[in-house]
Amino acid sequence: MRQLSLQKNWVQILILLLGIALVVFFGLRVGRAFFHLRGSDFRPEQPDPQDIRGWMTPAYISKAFRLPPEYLYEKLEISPPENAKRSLQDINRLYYPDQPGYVLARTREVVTEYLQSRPPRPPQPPEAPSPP
Amino acid sequence: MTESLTELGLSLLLTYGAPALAFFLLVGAAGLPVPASLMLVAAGAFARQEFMDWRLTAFLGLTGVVLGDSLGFGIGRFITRGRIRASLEQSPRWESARKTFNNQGGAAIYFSRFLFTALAVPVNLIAGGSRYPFGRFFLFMFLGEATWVFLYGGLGYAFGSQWELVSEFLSNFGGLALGIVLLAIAISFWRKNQNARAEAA
Repeated sequence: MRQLSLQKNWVQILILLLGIALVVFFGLRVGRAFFHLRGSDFRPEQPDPQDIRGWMTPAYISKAFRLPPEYLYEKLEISPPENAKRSLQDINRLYYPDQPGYVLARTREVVTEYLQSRPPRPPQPPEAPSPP
Repeated sequence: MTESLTELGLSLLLTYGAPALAFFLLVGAAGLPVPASLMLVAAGAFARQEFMDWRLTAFLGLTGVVLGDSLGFGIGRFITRGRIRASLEQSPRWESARKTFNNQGGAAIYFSRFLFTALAVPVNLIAGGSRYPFGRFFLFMFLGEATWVFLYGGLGYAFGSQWELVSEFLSNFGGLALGIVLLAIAISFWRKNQNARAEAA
């Protein structure tokens, strides 16, 4: 009976310690993620070229940044049909095996240049007042 | 291989779209270590960028995860048959745990889909192994998974290109919620002990 009670106590202490560990570890990470979220500008439709990653495909990048796909292929010096759905990492491995990271860096440059050369969007006209 | 499983998954998600999401959610729900929540948030963001159709993505994603959970339930039932089942049924502790799960399992099934996601696979196995009725399991599991798909996918859609920040927040929030539940359990045990001691005195 006493042994069973001791065993129960150990289980309770283990649950308590595990709970404290999880709360501290994930609490700090949640706090950090929350401050990252709060500190960032809320621009869900305006991705940053620096956020381009190696797993992204040219087809996705041209859609997300609203740039003509041909422009990207031309600047990266690759042919369109077979590379549209390849990741930048795979394209790098195929075309520039001696220069790791080249395609990612070049894509960021190309997209930044394109966004800077694109005329800014015209301001939205103010909404007409609704009739009473 | 330099790229991680997550990067490979995201790349496949961009290449094959909604069927790739369905596949990842299926294998993740069945127990393989796949970053399913991250994929779901990313899919929501890709839908916002009009790269994926949100209706098809939500439908196939939900189908995949429901199949995966049902598979997990089936595995739980399969591994506790025959001799193992007979020996388990002789244990009063197992019988007591089985009855508790049968009475209160619905909440565990529902909340482990989207809040305590780390527990989803063990809950599937326990439900299958404890002979929890499949119809009831399916109902709670479907409701929980629909909440998960629309909540996580919806947050990805809302935050669009900033989905990585949301995903980081959500993945850690699940761990924090689990820690809080464990603390609550420990406190309830402690209070029960205190009451028992007070009664004995």
